[in-house]
Amino acid sequence: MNEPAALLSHAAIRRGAPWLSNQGPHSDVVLSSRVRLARNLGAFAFLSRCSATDRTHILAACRKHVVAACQNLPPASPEHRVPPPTEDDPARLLWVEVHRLSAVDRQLLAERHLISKEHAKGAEPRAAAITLPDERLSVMVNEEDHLRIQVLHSGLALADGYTLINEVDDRIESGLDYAFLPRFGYLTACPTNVGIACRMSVMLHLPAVRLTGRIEQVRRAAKDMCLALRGFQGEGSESAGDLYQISNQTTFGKTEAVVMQELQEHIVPQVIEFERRARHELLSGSRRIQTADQCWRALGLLRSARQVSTEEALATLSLVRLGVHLGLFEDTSPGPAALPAPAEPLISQLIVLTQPAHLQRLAGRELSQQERRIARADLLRTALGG
Amino acid sequence: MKCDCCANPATIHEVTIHSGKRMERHLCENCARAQGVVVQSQPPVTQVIADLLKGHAITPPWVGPDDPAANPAAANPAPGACAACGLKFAEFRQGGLLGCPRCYMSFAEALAPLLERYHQGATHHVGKVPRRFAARIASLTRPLMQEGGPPGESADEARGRARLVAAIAAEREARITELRKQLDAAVAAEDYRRAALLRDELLRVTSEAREAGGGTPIGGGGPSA
Repeated sequence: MNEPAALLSHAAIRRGAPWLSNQGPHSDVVLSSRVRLARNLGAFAFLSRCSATDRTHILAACRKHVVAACQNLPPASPEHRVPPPTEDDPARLLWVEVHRLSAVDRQLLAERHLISKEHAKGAEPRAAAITLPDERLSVMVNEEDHLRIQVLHSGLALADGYTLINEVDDRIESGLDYAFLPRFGYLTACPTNVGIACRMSVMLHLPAVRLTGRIEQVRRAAKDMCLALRGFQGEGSESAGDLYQISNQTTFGKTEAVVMQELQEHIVPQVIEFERRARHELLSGSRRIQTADQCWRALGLLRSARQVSTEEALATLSLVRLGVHLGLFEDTSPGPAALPAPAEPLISQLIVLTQPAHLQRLAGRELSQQERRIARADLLRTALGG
Repeated sequence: MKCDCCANPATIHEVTIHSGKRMERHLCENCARAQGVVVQSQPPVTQVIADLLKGHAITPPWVGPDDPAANPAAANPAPGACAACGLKFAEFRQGGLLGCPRCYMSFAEALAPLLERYHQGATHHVGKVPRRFAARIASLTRPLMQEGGPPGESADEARGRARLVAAIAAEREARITELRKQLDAAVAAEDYRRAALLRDELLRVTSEAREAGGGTPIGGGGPSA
């Protein structure tokens, strides 16, 4: 277990986030799957009515059990291809008191989706436990609920995520009394999470649905099915880079297995099919040249630009990723000497590598906004052979 | 389950133990009134446990202490405020967050319609139950299911435990009813994969009932699925 001094290894930061490894089922459309549980200790008030002392007591009560629960986990299935431990980056559990971290380190964890944006803010006592180097399990202590446990995998993998999280939940619960009532289930600070207190979400890349003008259809369908459709950074975020998270809103009156089945077997496959059909449409007839032009221009921009904002990087990478999955960069029509075609998983990893805290950690110092734009452009040109 | 006296559904389940002999009555609200059984809405199981344990100076660990000394805000709770943390329902409506686990008991009736609206008409939790909770409940109820109850138990304690078993059985019955409803809907929709998942959960709940009670759950019965 390490303290903040060595938050993440340089190699891990350079490699990007394991959940963006473009592995696992349907990874052309599904970037990642996340399962999250909210748990509270019965002996304490919820956090909105906790003093700093209460928060410290909760941290102390949880630490031992969380740390024990996150050790010796069952190995990840080979299909997830999580980064194996190495000499420089051994298997370990990182326990960090988030309120003591620098702003950049907090943001680094949030950009890798290991903690929420909300957890990254605030000075009150709070912590996170993260398994390294696979980064598939993290536990936030003192977020909106006392405990938020999450498992992240690349591709469509909710079942594997639930199996692991259920095991970790049982282990933590063996030493702590969770707040629970038979009628209401697991009690959470916000009643929208009560019941199974389990949120399953899938991050989808839907550029073709947007380009064919059908994103509203997906949004309406999600609403009709009582699902939440959110942007890349979760609650309240816009759909930067055509990235959408679809998740269950209902947590009460349904079992975990039923929620998972609805998402994994019914809803997400339909959205995947919708995106694939839209991609097919983008390649048909005269639309093909228009699509190829858009994707090649995006690649050209990233290979040439001298300063790029986060938003521009996400929007442009989305088109490049689309081009990669449509095979458009294998086009050998006349033009300047061919550069190597962009490929996965690099394109997906650039989504996180071009985020502000990643750029600063890669540079080894804090960067101003202007410096970050230049560093982002440099990184993109280097990565894409510009 | 039907009322012992008429065809209405039984909503009052009474278990009494007299001279080591266990008696059960399952009545609808009207027949219960007619027979002089005190009718009141079934209190949440944890309320019953809390009441029961008060005399034993045990704090139910899953909904926190009910001790004003532990929380100055609750020393003199305002009318309609949570007895444990002092949160008023109006404050919850404004901020969207409850103050403590006890708020779910304090505001149970006001929360129910909100939860129904938000969670597609759901009225009851189905799904995972913490193992420690299940084990604690089983350890509290098991003596009651045995002949004569634990040694030295007073008549008051026996009545308290009887109420507890009835409350737990009622909660469990509600879960079973909810699961059966969902199972029927899944079968009607020919969603057999979902039906299989629901059947597994029904079997789990009924086996949990058997483990907790050492017999058929009171008022619950086994699933026909």
